[in-house]
Amino acid sequence: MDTKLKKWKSVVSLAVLAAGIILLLAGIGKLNNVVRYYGLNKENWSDLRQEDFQETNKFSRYLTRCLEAYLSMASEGPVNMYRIGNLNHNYWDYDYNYYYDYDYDYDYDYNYNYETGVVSDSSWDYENNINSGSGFTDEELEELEELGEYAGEYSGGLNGLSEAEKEKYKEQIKKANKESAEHLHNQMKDDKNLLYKITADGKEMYTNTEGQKLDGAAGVLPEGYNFLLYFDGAKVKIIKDGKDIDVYGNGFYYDTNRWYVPGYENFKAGEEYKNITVTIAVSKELKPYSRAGYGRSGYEDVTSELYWQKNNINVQKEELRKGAVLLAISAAFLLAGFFLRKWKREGDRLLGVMTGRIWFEVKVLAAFIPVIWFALPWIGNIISRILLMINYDYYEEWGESWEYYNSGYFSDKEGLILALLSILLMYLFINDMIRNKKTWRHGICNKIYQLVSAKETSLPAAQRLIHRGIWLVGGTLLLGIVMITAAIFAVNEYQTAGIMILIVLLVLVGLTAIQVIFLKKSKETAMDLDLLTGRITQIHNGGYESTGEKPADEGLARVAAELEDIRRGMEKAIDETVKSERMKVELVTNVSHDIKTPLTSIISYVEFLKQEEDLPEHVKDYIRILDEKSKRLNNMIQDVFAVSKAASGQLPVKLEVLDFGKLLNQTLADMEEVISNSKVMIKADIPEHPIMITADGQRLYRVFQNLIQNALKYSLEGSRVFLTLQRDGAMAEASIKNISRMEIKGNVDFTERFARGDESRSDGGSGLGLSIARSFTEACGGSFRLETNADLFVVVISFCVEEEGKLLISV
Amino acid sequence: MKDVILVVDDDREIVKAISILLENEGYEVLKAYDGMEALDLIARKTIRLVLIDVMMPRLDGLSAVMRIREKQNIPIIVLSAKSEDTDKVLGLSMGADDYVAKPYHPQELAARVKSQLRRYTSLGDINAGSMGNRVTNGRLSFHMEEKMLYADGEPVKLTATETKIVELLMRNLGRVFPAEEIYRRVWEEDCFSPENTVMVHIRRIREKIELNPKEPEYLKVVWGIGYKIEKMEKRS
Repeated sequence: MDTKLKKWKSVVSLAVLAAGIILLLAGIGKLNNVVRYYGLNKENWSDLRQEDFQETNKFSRYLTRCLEAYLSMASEGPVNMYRIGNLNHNYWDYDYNYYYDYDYDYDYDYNYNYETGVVSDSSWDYENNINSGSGFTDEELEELEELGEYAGEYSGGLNGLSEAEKEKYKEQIKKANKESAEHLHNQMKDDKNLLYKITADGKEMYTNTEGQKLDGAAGVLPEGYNFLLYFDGAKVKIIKDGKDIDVYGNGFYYDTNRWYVPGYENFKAGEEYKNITVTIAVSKELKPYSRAGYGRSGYEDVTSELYWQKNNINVQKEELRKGAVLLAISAAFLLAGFFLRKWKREGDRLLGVMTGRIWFEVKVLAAFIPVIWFALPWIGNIISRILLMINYDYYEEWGESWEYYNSGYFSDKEGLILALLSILLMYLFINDMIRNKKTWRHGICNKIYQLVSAKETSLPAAQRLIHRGIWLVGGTLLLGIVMITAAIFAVNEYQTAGIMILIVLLVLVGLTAIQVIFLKKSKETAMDLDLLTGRITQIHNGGYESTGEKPADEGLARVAAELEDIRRGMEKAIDETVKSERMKVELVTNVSHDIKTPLTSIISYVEFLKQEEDLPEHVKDYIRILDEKSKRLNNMIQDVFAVSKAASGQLPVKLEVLDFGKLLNQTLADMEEVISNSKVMIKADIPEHPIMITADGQRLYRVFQNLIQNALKYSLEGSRVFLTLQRDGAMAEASIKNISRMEIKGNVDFTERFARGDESRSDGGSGLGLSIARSFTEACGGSFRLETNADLFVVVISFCVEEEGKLLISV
Repeated sequence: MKDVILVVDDDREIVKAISILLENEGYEVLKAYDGMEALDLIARKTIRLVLIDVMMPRLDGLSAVMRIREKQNIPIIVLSAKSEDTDKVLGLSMGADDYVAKPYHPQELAARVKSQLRRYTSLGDINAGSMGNRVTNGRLSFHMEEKMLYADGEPVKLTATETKIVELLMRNLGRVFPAEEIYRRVWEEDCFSPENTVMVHIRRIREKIELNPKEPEYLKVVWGIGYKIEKMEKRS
């Protein structure tokens, strides 16, 4: 129940966020439309703020152009239809309810003829302005075409012609101008949104009033018209809603003046217009008007530009309004999404779980292709610019195709969807990166990498086998690159390129599949091999525990089973040895404890007997023997115990850094009494400077105590025992040399437990002295060596010397 | 009035031997043959010291020690056939005051009993706090002004050199002194090979202060380094 609620919450929060982003994008899109089609200049924004269309710059600009055209018509000058009515360049975008307007493109091509005071267009195309069957002969038309082309190539239009040429073509031009003026009049006259009357020398030349009363001089307008522009031959008078409008201001024209009409002190109408009057009336209500014209140059569509201009401004206003509303709503949604971000976490987690199942490569492609697609216009722009910078030839060759991306590649709807898709996929991708640790691990690249990675194996043989796969992968990669490059070039050259690319892709996919299978099998074998060789190494190193893992390969599994048999045999043998050794130690321990209890009584009562005074002398002698032997028994028990512990590796040692020489001196001093009471001399040669070793001092003392006791006991009477310590490189060697009293028999291992020079065992030792010395030395990490040479008995004990830097222990 | 000592061991001959030994020393001995019996006796009688074996039927020695410690603070000496260092540490940590390995030397055992009793009865107050210019360490106590060492409260007769060595080591409990340093400080001159000289004195001091000079508890040789007096942990 709770998880269900959680799920719903996360869905709601994600939906809110998504809605916020969609609305934000839509809002930005609306605003972008306005900016994109109208630009961001001041004039437009001031137009958008105007309630009354007749107050806008667009309106005044259009009327200005009309006046120019009418004046041109009246004075038999060239007329450009595109400028005021003929709009076959323009089209209606049904998607966006928008009427494209190239108004501004034309502005830049203006050429103002100061001589005539008429604005002309450089790309003036006679051809398009002349209708078929207009009374020109074919020859004349050809000439005019040439003239048009010629004029079009040079800025300045007809003005670029020499006087002679002008003179030559004067008649034709005049005729053509007249022709196009008539044509324009025919095209426009039925658009009643704008009434015009053009007179020359008091004679009416062109008008579309059709009987409606229009008198510019008197300011009389027909019903439904509220705007009047009247040119009286020198100045312009404008009346709107019955009120005069100040056109000229202080009488000088500046860029900022709204009305670009002749009549200023610095912008006067020419003499030739003295007798011309133009009256223009604009309807208060603008109606749509279109007229289809199918001229010789193809389809022509004449519409009422005034109506569309007004309509455009209204559409823009509407777009702005919508954009603002969308932005406001999106802000609300985003704010809500911000407050619901805790709910979203669960959703993100679930999305992460979902996206975690997809291959990483797919995710990367899905996330980045829309973004790159979306960014293509900018990328194209940048690339073409760079190409242009480097070399114009490159630009011509490659850059132009990039330019294609540069302009208007997407419609707004496509753009919006693409942007949304980009954001959505990016969000999923980033969420995936955050939620799923090491998300790149789940993918084909990583899979192939895993197949050639030998991380799971530990031994070089198997690793080499696996690493061999790298060659395979590398080779295929190279082949793939070569083939894809070839296919890309083929696209330009051959018609069958599509099939070639398909074949290349099929080959690559097939190769990859075969490779993956091969690598998988190869890796399995390598892993088996690793398991087997690893096991052999393990057994060699003394690890007998079976892991239970078996190679999957049948042949190798059998080998592994055989190996396991060998291991079991060895394990059994070793187990038994260890067991018997342990039992021996336990036996010794228990026996020594068990012997100690009766021995305690014996020693105690012998002690009491010793204190009896009235006993005969021979009984006292018996008691002395009992005392001596019971004490020796005690010593032997302790020795047996120690040696059995040391032999089983259970002897605790406390290692510390100590001075070997000092230890020997201390031992000699400790045994001084015994030594002086013996019949041999000890000659010690121990260096003064410290020789530091790491050992257990107590144990090492026992070692030398035993060795010295041994030497004292078995040496030839009156002989000398030599105790020397010397440093030999990194080793410190202590040796005890003595001459045996009895002949030393060969083939006797003196460190074997209970071994003795003579077999009678009649002397006082336990027979464990050398055995203890050896096992204690070894427990401390030293080495024990015994040499006999004739009757010379030598024991050498050596330890590693600790370096000087560690001598911190002594005071 | 005689001090009453409880001897606990499942081996009757050993109990008898110890009784004879202690009675000769002038103590009154109570006998018990297992842990339960011992606890029973302790509950009923006023006992000054317990000698107890570890391995016994019904209730083993170490458990008995723990049970005794719940109520009584009397000295307890553990006797055991186990002579490992680890066994010794275990026994002492269970609350025993001393640990004697079997087979014990009768004279040593007697000395230990005496030492424990003296410390418990007459010197309890010394152990409790530091008394002016004294360094107290287990059985030993060194009086700075008198330049006198006391073992179990009794003055130990030391020569001037021995006193100097003891003073040096008692003032620096646990610190290891190489023979050269001891010689320089005590004899106040350098010596080429002082090991023998120092060792002779060490041995003599041991004879006077250790209960078993062959297995010294206090004055120890740190083989290959020097000499020290072991710092004793006080029983809590």
